[in-house]
Amino acid sequence: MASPTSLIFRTRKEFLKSRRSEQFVLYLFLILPILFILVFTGYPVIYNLILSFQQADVTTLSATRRPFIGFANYSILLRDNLFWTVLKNSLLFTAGSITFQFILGLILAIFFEKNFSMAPFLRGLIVAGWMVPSLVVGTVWKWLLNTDFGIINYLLMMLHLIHSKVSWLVSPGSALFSVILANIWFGIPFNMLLLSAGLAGIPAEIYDAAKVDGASGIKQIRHITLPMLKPTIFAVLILGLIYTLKVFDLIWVMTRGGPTNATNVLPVWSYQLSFEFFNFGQGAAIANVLFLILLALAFLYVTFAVQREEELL
Amino acid sequence: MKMETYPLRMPSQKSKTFMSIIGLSATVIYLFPVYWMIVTSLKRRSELFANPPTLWPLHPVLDGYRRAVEVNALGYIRNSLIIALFVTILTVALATVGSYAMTRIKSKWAKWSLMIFLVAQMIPSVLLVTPIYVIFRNLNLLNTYVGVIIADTTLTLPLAVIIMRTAMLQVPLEIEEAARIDGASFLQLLPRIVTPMVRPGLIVVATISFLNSFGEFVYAVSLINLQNMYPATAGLYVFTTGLYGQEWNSAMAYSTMLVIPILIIFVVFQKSIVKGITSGALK
Repeated sequence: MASPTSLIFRTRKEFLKSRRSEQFVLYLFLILPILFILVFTGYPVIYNLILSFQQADVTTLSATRRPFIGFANYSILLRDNLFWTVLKNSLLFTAGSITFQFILGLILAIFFEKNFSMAPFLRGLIVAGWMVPSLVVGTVWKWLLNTDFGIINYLLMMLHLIHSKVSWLVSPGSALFSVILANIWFGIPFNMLLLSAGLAGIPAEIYDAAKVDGASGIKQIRHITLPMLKPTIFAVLILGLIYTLKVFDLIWVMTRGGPTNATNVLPVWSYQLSFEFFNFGQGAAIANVLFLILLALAFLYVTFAVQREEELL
Repeated sequence: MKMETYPLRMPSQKSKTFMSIIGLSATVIYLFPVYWMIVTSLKRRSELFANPPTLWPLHPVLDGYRRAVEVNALGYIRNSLIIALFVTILTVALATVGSYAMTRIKSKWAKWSLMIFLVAQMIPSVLLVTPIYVIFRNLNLLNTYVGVIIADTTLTLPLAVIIMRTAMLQVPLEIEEAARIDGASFLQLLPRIVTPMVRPGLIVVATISFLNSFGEFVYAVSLINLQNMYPATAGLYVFTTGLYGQEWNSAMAYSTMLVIPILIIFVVFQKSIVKGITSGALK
């Protein structure tokens, strides 16, 4: 069969010339978004890395030359007790959020997978909850959890689950739990949505066969749904880890990392160091610690995604 | 055979009703915070502190909204709409040409360039905000929409490229070749032939970019400090943490106003958003 391009070009030379200019245009197309990311993300990342080895405060931030202090920013922070508190909070916040977002998301996904008439509509309504900006979510939960006039304290008192009003966001003992609660709410739709997509990919015939063999609903979930869903579950958990470790807005608007650092996590601390204490070098160092953790997770995810893609092809 | 297995899969009418009730209850409980936001926004200030709290305002009033408008909520929301609009245009344009080239260039480099976007997607805003602040100060981009638009696009572009790439891969090359035979020039292929075919992907990318930039907070609050230029999230933050912290009806009214444009967009594009998020995140 003749190549379609040979129909348009009279000579081979003409064809090759135009082929080259087409390739040039394609590379130009590709370089535009890459250039954007290199300039406005890549360069700032390197800038931030350098900043973390420098002494940078309000007076030196705008200077072109700042004193290099090696790993001093990192070693100061590592020796700070607060670092371990913040790391612990980050772990608790992430683990707590992910565990419950995932379990509740999975229950909802499995539930809405059943064919009842309202399922698509209700699922859509829950997904709408995810569209609310995290800043608004934080503001609304701050009001729900208000000590004196919040509806949550009222409901718990009415149900006799608590005897006196809990100062959710004000006392260090309950603040972390409270921001985790708000973040679980925020994360449920995302988990439900991705898990639903995974569920939809399981062929119905497998369930039919299991039913013929007399497998109960719970048994079906354990022996069919969960094993078949494994790749989706892995993706959801890693993406969840990455997103949750980055959470800033929600905590910032609810507690600003307080009271007494009870809800201080890596992104919040980094922002505080830079924009409240104007210690930009240390803020950069903490951001890099966070970035390193995320990069490790990202690497895991990309390896997994590439592997999966090859399986699909 | 199919006729025999079919009834096994279908829940009975009774259990369907039962499931609808459970599903509805779960949804109602889940959406209660949104309901409470709207109800609170319609209350008088004195009613906020009523005991027991009223599940529906005794006399719904617009006091909260009036107060929110007074502190320029509408102006801030307009600022955010402008920013989000340009972020969307920029993101869609860059992602379209980029993903097209990425899937048409037959070279290892084109494939590996996807990694740049996958990694860029992981970088937290709190890491970028200081360098971007310094760079933009030198470029005189602080307190400009252009600055926030560029910063927000670093957030939206990676995901957009990842989603568009999936869409571009699904356009068969034969269609482009056929168009060439019919006399279309190379430069006409993307706008005339390919773009209409990836329209669902474009809608997804546009919607997600719009929503993300509309609700963005870190850059909004860091790169702009002229009060009348605040994006909506920065305005809400300043309003709720400022002197008027106890005016929960106004805070909830502002929040409701902020959510309305988002809900409109979501209702219109719901199906494609849901499809896009799942395909973009899982592939």
